[in-house]
Amino acid sequence: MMLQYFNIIKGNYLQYVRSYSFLLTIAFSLFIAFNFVPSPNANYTTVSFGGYTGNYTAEWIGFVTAILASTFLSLCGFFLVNGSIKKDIETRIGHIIGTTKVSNLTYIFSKVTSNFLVLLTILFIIFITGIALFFLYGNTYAFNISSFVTPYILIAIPTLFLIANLAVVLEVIFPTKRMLQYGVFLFLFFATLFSAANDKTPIISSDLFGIQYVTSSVANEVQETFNKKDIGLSIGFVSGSRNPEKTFQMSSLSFPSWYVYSRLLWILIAVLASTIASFFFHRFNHKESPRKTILVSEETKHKSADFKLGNLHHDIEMSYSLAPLIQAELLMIIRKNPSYLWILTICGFTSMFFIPLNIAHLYILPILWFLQVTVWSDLVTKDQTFRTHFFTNSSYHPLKRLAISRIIAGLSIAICIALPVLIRYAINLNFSSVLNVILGATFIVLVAVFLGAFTKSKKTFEIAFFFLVYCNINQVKALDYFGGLHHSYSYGFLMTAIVSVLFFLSYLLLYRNKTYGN
Amino acid sequence: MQLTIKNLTKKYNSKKIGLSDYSIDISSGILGVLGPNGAGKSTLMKMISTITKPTQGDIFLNENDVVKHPNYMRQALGYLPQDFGVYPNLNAYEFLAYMAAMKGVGGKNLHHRIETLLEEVNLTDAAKNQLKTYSGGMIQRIGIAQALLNDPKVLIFDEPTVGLDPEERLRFRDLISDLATNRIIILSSHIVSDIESIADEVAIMKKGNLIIKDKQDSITKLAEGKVYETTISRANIINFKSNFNVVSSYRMNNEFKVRYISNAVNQIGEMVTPTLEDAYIYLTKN
Repeated sequence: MMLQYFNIIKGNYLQYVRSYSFLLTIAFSLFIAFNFVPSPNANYTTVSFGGYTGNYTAEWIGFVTAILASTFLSLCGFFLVNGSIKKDIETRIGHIIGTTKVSNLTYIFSKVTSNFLVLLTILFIIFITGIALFFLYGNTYAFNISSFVTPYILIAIPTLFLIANLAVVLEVIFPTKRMLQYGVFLFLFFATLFSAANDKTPIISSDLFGIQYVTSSVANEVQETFNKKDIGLSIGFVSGSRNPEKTFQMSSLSFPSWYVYSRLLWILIAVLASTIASFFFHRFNHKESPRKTILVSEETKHKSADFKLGNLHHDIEMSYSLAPLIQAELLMIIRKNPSYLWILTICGFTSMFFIPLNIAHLYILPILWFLQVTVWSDLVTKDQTFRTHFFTNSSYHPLKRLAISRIIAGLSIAICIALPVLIRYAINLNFSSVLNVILGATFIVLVAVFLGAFTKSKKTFEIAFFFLVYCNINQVKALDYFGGLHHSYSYGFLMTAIVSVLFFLSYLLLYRNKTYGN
Repeated sequence: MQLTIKNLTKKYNSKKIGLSDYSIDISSGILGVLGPNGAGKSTLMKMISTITKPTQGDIFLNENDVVKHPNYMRQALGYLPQDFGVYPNLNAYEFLAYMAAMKGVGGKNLHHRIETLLEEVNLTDAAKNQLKTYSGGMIQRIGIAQALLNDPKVLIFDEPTVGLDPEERLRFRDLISDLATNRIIILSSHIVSDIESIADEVAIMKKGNLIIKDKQDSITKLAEGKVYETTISRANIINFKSNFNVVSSYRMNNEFKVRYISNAVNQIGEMVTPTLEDAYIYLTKN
């Protein structure tokens, strides 16, 4: 039984680490880990208390990297590990698994463990990078290993275990509704984060991230050191907020027993949730729900196909118009998203006509675009998913016609969603902003095409897009791809250059992948 | 129509070779391609249908270089892959219209052609249902319909009868026979009987090489004098199978009627007239 369990985990994990996306994950992990601890010359903060940041001690670096891993990595990590059951459905391995002796409980926990191992791998990279950064930035201080490691064990690891469970539980509850899984997760994530920030009860709390107590402790320390009251906590990439003069020497964190029990309780809750989910696991039988059964006449059911060619004497006319291709792509896009998502989009779309223009542009537009994430991530990867690549690759001029029509369809959706903002800017004669929004729409669609063609996976774009939206809402200027913070023509020219390069690279990659390349 | 393949090689890496120095001339008519798993049949089909580029060698369709100009082949091609999928959110009509657009087919007759094709593959009733609701057999029929959308001059069918019921298999063979005039049809299958009844010529492949390409009669003759039938007791059947190249065995009470191939003369049992299947086993297992 245990051997069976470990073999499944090993298989899942090896399948992931041998994939191309794992290399990208490592690169991404190194990138975020490096940025978690701003260099002495950097003009941004990731964690600060009333503008105060800690000296580069093992205590501070361990604390910062652990709480950012607990929040930020769990946010991105969910998108990374979510979909492991879906993969078994897509590869049809699920049908084999469904007929084996593997119990639902074993299967669910093997998925949880594999997810957890993937997240731990990233955490390990962050951990190692954190140590490297200590010796790079803080080599004048003594390296206290226990102060560095303890926050990882008590803050980050339990959170990542929860996320590994949550990813599987949501897949079981909404097996074919990926956007719903994302939506529920984001709601839970931000609701919990908000609740944790306002939860002042020091007993077992709603703080599944485990950050409320530790941040309060550090905030108290800052208050005592500088004799100030109501020191506010800031978590996230905040540019221009760093003041090298406002630093403090953080002491080692102490974790009371109730805190440790609280973390253990969250682990138990996660295990319980997965156990309950295993009772409701579809065991790859979800497609046979009655509402999806095809309704055909009895005559059709019992009649075989005639295959009489005598009836097929029609003249064939050639037509190289892109219109029917674009029309079919739009049809697939519209049907792909569930109706509730379109209702949300229509509500957001309508609201953008009435709310202040800068709010519509800065906040509503990127969120409405993000609702289309699964549509755009599918643009060039759907043929692998649906195994239609034989048809597309042998179609007439696949690159000039099919790929272009897909880009146009994706772009049409992006521009349609942005119409209220575009119309209002046009009425205000602010044509540079009109240009920037259109370039932003083109940029995000081309990023989807580029990452899809490069990684042959939709997940990379989904994570990157989420990261972009997060940064956009936090108003990170460097990642303002849709001109929310930049309204000049010069920014439009810069974006035109970026979009052109992206188009050229995407074209090359699609050429490599689609036409006579493999 | 003339399809010429010259010294075609496909190397996936230094160890794995899909096809090795493969040359063949194919004229109008039906060519059946037989071979065990890993023989390179699907690799050959993918290269002819311009999905995969050969590592070396040339493919010419009516003296046009298909490797350099794949769209020449694509305009004339109808392809039914072995393992294909569909766009689940489209219905049958929309899917065929999309496939037609991909192939560059349009015009006023397209609507009628799609409706006729749907009728002939018995999917008219289900044409408005999204393809995610279709069974495996229905998907296979949609695959056959899309292959015929552009009135192709080169038709490639890779394991086409998978998912069809026995009646449909027979009718599908008739369809292929009807289509063969002025077209090249390449039919790859594991099922010898699918090819035996309709192919003008048969090509047998093994480990990425072409063993033989000839008329069925000429290939069958190669196994003459080497095919025997005998009866073996149940107790000895496993031992017999390990010593002889058995084509088929039928259980009859406590005995097995066994058809086998042997190069040696004066074997046990009665010498029988060989079939294409006997010749195929003889050529691929020796």
